[in-house]
Amino acid sequence: MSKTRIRIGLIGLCLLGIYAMYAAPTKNIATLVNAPQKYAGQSVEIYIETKIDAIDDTGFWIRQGRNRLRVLGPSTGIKANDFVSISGIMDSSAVMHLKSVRPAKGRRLKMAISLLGLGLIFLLIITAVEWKDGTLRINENA
Amino acid sequence: MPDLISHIGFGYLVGYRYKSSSWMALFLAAMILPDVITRAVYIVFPQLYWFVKPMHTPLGVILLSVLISGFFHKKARNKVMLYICAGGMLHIFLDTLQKHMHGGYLLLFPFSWQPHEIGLIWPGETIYFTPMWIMVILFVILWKNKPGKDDHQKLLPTESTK
Repeated sequence: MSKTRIRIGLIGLCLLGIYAMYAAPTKNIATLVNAPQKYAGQSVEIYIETKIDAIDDTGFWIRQGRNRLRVLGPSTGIKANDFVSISGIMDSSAVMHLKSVRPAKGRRLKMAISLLGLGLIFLLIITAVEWKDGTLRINENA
Repeated sequence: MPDLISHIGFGYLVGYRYKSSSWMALFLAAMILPDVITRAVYIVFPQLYWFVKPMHTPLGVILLSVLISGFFHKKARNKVMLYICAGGMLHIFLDTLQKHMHGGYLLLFPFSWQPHEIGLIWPGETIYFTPMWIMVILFVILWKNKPGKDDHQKLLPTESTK
């Protein structure tokens, strides 16, 4: 085992991750809801694991994890629980005025299909790689 | 991004002539690594999206390959690193074939936040190609294992069996 490589990889990835968390230009719902005055009048895009939570006559709610955001605008082409990519203008009361929304069609089916692929690779890897004498080794006899 | 079957299928087409099934398995695992290691985290913990997202960039793939190769025996480390890099980079290239309304792929992260993509197909449309990938993989497997010239010679009667 190479501790140097492991340290370089771990520290490098952590630094990149921390930098990305603080410098990312894309906003999430929690940020918009917690600081509505800061984003009032701004155009924002939200697309990370964003789902339609509920639809009513004047608009709909979107959700990221436990955070929800009110969106005013037409709900044509979307339905509850759709994953969406959305853009709009924020107002001072943390409400988004819709510019565009696009559902991510087929996403759940893709995830289900991908689980099959993941299972296949898992089976291949456990036969291809073995732990021996404190390190991983490629099983050349597999 | 394309589903994992598509990534695996393309990776198999790239490396099917390689004789070692173990190294092929490692390469195929690397073909899906950027998605597995990022999505598994941020689907469950959306607040960690940006912390794990760098692992789906070229620099992140290189650092992942350095990290993972460190767990291997000395003789295999550089080759493991090369295979993981190759698989991860090919994964990112396939992802860029998709188009997005927002976002894209941060190919120059951390030096630039500008997303890039070639943008030929919507992400949801890639599943229509999954049956094709499955058939291609099966075809290649069957073609590789077809009875060859050597096998025919083994089937022929020899002097001792006449």
